Amino acid sequence: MKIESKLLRCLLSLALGILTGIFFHYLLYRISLPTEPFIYSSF
Amino acid sequence: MKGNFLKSRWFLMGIAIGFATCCLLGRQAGRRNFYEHFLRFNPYISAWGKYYPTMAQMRQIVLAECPRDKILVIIGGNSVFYGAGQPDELVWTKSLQQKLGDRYHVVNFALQASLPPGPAILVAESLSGTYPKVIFVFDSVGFALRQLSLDPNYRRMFWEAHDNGFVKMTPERLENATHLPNIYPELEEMRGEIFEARDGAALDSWLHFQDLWDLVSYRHVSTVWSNVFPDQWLGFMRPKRDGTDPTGMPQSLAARRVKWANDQVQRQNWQNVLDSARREVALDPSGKWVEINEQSWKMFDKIISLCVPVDIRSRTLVVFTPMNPGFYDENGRQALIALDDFTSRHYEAAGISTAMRDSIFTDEDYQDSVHLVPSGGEKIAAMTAAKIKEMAAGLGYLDTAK
Repeated sequence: MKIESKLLRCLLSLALGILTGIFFHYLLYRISLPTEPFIYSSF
Repeated sequence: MKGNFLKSRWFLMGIAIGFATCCLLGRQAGRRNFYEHFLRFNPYISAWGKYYPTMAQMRQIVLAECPRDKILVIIGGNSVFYGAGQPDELVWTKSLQQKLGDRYHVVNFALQASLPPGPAILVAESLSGTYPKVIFVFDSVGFALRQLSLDPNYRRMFWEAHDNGFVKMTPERLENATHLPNIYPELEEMRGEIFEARDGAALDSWLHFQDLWDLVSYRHVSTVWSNVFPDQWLGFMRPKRDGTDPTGMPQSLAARRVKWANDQVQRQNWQNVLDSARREVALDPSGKWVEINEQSWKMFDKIISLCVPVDIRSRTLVVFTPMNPGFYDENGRQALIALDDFTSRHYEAAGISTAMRDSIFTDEDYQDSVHLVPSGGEKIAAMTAAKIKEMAAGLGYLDTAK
């Protein structure tokens, strides 16, 4: 029971870590985007 | 509760695995063409939809769609060459492809709101080793020519091309990347961001976040709010591949004329263009048009040398797209024609081909002050096809093609 619980915690930690890693990658994408596109109207 | 629920070592390992996997997936995304039936960068897959394609994606579109033995015709420039005012089925580049025939492959990389020649020239440069027969075409209205590094929306692609080794930038090109005067005053305020764009591109060349999340946005779900699909609940989240250019068939000429008469923004734009023309050219006492702003023309020559490197000049065509004649009087028209004429001479002196025939356009060919409806697109396609064929013959492309 104790081993199963420990394994579950390890797997859950790993899964949450993976999601956090994906989030960090996504965050880089978002912060690198221009806040507003510059649409000039002359041409 | 005894201790932390999470196992920190496993959690940190998860972060590393998740992040590294995203980087690898992003790298893969930039190495294949994920666009379906690419026609042009419509508002959903360009800055209007807060979607920023990358140089890697543009290269992959060409590599996937154009066989190596064809004459690759890459279209750059701004909204005029994008075909604003023309629905997808009647966009001018389709007509251009038909007129050129199957020896040629036309790809439209013109981007609305970009400064000519736009990112497409870097794609043409980067692929000229892979494709022995390349012709690059872009549109010009007056002095609107700037290095991509100064483009407000797409400047990151300049650094992407450099950092990823797609294009070998000359020291002069790099030195002048951020220091030339801009034609749009608003850009002056954005100078600081140029360095952010550079840093972003450097980071992306290692971590590949733009390609991965562009792919997710295009294929699956878009997570950046934009005003696309406004008629639908959470419409901005729809995959970008669902979007097509929303332009319909043009209104009648009478209806367009009424619109133009009441459109102060368009009139002001036209006036600005005319004012800028009159700063560069003037009638001398003998009634002949002459260049009057020597400093400005010298700067233009320098910008040409930076934007269009020597290696690609003989394969570059600049097409002059005149302003709507319905917007100005004869005097204004002559000033604009003179500006185009002198601009053309500067391009030709640098070894770049040009095409210009103001006289074939009437106000019927226009959507607004400068964008063309399908009839105007047809004329541009005919004019451009004739010149491309002439260039292809001159470059010896037709000797071995097919």
